Amino acid sequence: MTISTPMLQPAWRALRRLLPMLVLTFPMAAEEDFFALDEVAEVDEQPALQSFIDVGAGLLDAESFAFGRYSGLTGEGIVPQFDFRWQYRPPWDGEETGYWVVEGRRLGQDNRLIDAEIGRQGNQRLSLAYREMPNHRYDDGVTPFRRDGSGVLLLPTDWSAGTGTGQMPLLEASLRDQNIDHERWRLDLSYSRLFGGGWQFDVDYRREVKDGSRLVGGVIGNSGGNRRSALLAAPVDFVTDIVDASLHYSNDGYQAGLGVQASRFNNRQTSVAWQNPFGAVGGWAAGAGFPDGLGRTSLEPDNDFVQARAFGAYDLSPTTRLSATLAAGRMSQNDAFLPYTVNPALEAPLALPRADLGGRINTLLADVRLSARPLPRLRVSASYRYDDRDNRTPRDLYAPVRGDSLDQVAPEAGRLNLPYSYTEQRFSVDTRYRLASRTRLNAAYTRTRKTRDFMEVRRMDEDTLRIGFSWQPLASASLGLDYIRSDRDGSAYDGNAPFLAGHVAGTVDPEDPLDFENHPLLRKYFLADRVRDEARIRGDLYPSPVLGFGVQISLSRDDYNGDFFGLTDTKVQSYSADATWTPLANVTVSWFYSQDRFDTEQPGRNFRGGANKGPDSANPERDWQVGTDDRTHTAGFDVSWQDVGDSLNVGALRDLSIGLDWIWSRTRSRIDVDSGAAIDTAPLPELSTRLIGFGLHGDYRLRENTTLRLRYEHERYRSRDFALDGISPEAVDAAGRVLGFGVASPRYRANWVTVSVRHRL
Amino acid sequence: MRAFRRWHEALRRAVVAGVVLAAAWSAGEEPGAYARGGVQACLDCHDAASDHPADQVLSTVHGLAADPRSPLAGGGPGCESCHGPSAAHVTRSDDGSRPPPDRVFHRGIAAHQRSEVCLACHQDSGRVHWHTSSHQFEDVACSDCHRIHQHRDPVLDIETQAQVCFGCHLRQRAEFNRPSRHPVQGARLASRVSLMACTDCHDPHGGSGPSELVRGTLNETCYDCHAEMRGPFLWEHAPVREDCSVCHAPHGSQHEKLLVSRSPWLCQQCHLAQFHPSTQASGLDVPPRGRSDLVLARGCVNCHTNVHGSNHPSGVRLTR
Repeated sequence: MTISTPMLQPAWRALRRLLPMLVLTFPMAAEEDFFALDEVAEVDEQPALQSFIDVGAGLLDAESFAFGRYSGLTGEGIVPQFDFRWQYRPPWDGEETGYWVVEGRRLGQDNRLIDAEIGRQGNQRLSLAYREMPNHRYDDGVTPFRRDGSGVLLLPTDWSAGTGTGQMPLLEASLRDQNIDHERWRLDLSYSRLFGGGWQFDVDYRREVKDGSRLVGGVIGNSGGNRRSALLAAPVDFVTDIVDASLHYSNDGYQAGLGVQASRFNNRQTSVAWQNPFGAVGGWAAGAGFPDGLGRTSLEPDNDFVQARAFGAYDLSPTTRLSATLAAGRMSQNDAFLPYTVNPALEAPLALPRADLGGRINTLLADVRLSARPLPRLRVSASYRYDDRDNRTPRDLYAPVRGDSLDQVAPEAGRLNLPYSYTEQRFSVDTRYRLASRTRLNAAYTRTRKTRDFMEVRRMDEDTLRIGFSWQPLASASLGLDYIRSDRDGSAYDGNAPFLAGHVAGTVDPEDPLDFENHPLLRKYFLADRVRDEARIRGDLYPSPVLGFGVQISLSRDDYNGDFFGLTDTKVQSYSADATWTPLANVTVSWFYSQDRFDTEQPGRNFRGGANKGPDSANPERDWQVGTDDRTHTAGFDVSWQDVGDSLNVGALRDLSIGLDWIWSRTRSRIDVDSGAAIDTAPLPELSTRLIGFGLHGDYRLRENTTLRLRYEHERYRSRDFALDGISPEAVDAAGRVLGFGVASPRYRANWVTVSVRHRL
Repeated sequence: MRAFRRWHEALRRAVVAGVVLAAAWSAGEEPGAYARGGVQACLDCHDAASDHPADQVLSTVHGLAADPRSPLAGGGPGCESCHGPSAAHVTRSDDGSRPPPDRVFHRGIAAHQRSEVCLACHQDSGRVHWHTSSHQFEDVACSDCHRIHQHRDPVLDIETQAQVCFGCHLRQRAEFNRPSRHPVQGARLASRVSLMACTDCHDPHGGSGPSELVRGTLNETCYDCHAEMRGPFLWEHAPVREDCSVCHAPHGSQHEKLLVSRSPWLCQQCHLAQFHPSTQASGLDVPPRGRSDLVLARGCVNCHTNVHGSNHPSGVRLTR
């Protein structure tokens, strides 16, 4: 490596001396010197490692969170560009094994990344990876709330409340801008050590900090009729630490290992409280409305997880292999409970049954697999998997204060928590048989049994059969077909099971046909009986070594029993094609297109409560039917052309490389609603998004080690969403029951230009 | 145990020495013979200007002679460690043609034949599940994804990995271009740079979880980055405890938050209770015909904000 800038040469020389010393001082386990080096022939030159520094600037002409959602490029102006890679590898035929590399990407942007690694190859390795991942959601939000030092979101001192947003005269004047965004900072530190004889030790530590804001709904009220909600900007302040260590042994015929993973999640903001912007509403207790009324919602509690695992694989014979994994773990959560209500004006005489949840879920996962080739043409794989989530969280009776709007309920109106557990067992056999050198049949059968607590279906069995065929008529062409049928069948569906289990015994009459929560004809789709048919077709064609085509079609249908409410039918159709062309050794062209369609059918019945519950719930004229039709089209095209002048035999362009990227995506969602004679419906507007982006990239080699790089990108995005567009904070609901946030669906047009100079070191 | 290790090490060295000696002994022989000249003989042709360049292998882990595990380790057969004895390829046939090396890795060669070369050395713990993995059963070979002659293997780089995967997983590429998505891309555009890699969630060499996930279950994989959802919570939302994909499409969706469908219809697939949970939502609830918080803004989540579970003693309806 050389560096030609005079100012940098002294520093470069010093570093060149220093870094190899660092490598040499890196501790080293027992070296194996079994191989002699002197028999290896001389090679003229080792390829350059492409250490470089890249400095420049970018210019953005748009203000858009949507454009910069993950890039951090959210505002107009100039953004510094700084990338580098600096590395050392010893001469390939030397006796040294120490190496290091450090690399930074997009250091001038909010999605920067730094990787560093140092080690002795074949011996040990220490690496560090740092990533910043922004997530910019809304830059057009407005809210009347202000955060004070106590953590309570407060309204302006002159706030004038009403029972609906239409009766808040100072609302518009009180609104101020509020962005919703957060950023993740993630640090991964890994160490790996190879010992002699096949032993290896790995340890990884990750710390992830997530900081920013998010939207939460703050509701006050005790029924659907008197609910009043405000969308709030709540803090995000998470820290997650994960340690994963393992020791394993590997040899020609077997591998085995032990490992442990520990995770600790810490939320430094476990609740958000707000001043109620609504005045007294009928059905609320005195003191629940403005100015004294307060609401508080919990945010995610801290939690811990620890898991020990053992794994291994053994070659029973040259054609038969057995592998297994056993993992036992525990999730736990014991954050101190918040009080039943944050509002001191409300009476809550019943104490909490415990100071914290004492939540605990024991996990056990066992996975045993056998793969074999009993005949030269036959491959068989069989597996058994046991996955148990045993929720040992104590069950207690809690007497809530409903929505910080009424005094505490009587004990008999309290609710019992439902610590859901499940056990899943899966047995699977997969076979492949080669009929001829280029033709293969495959078949697989999977049986899954899942048992659950406190849910509508206690036991669910699913049988899945897959048959397939693949054919390669030519070395340059292949075709694959697969058909899969799954039949899911559960024990009797008891729609009231969780409802009864969550209430105090005797307060709900299981014999009363009207004492139900969900309509008796509802079948929750993840528990309902279902037949799934799926077909997949894949074709590849390589008419020449420089040209390739691929086609994939995937069709699937989920058929639930249409006599019930809930999801009854789902169809997914996906058609994709791609092509790659390499007309010259230094030119690549690729293209792809996909079309996806997702259709669902979902009937339901509108029914009221009280005296109307019986007649309504039995009245088919109150039925409604929703059909959704989601369609997506995506296409992309890119070209890379290295050393343009060489290809065209034009000397002036010899040092030029160019590239083109183009991406296009269009989505459309249609929701059709139909209903019986007793209720009214009207068509919904269509939802849509449209994205088009393209980029032109050019690199021009100014000198042997110096390249001028130019990038121009243009992106346009439009979307239409009836839930957001034109919905001002006071206009979310005709009755003014929700104080909204005012965000619209994103729409932007952005141009992004960067100029940088890359210097190879 | 120590005696066993000594015997085992001695046996291992004897086998390796046997291979090396056999290679040296057979060098210069006819078909099945190793070429003379070692790495130099290969790279004389396979330099950077070649149609099949291999010179960058000297800057990769496979090209470090001082590492005894490297194919180019001193005294070993060099490139022929993987490509097999290929003296005939170096010297040309009598008719002037050049037969291919003993082992080549293009797609015309059966996947298991290509992979077994790699697996002869790569038998560490990361390959425990390879033999029962989807890729192995679908006849995907190591060389279909990895470019071991390149200084930087694209599939090992966070920003280029997805393009390699999308070469086969066309549908997933389309899903990652939907409006709501995880930041996994492959395009060189600034707004679509990859901040995640497919391997953050999937282990292409096989895993003990479904869909070759890096953790034992789908939810455990999601908790790696979304640990706040782990709980346990006082008031659980049953499908959340069990399977995140009941509501979310992890690669991408045209609905916010990677949801498979929109509120309120998604929620109404499982909640059909009296009054508003069973109320039909339609065009009467959106401007210009009307306004309903059941549909507008965040729909059901305007109030039921803790849909992943609540730890508030009054949060039984997931509103606290």
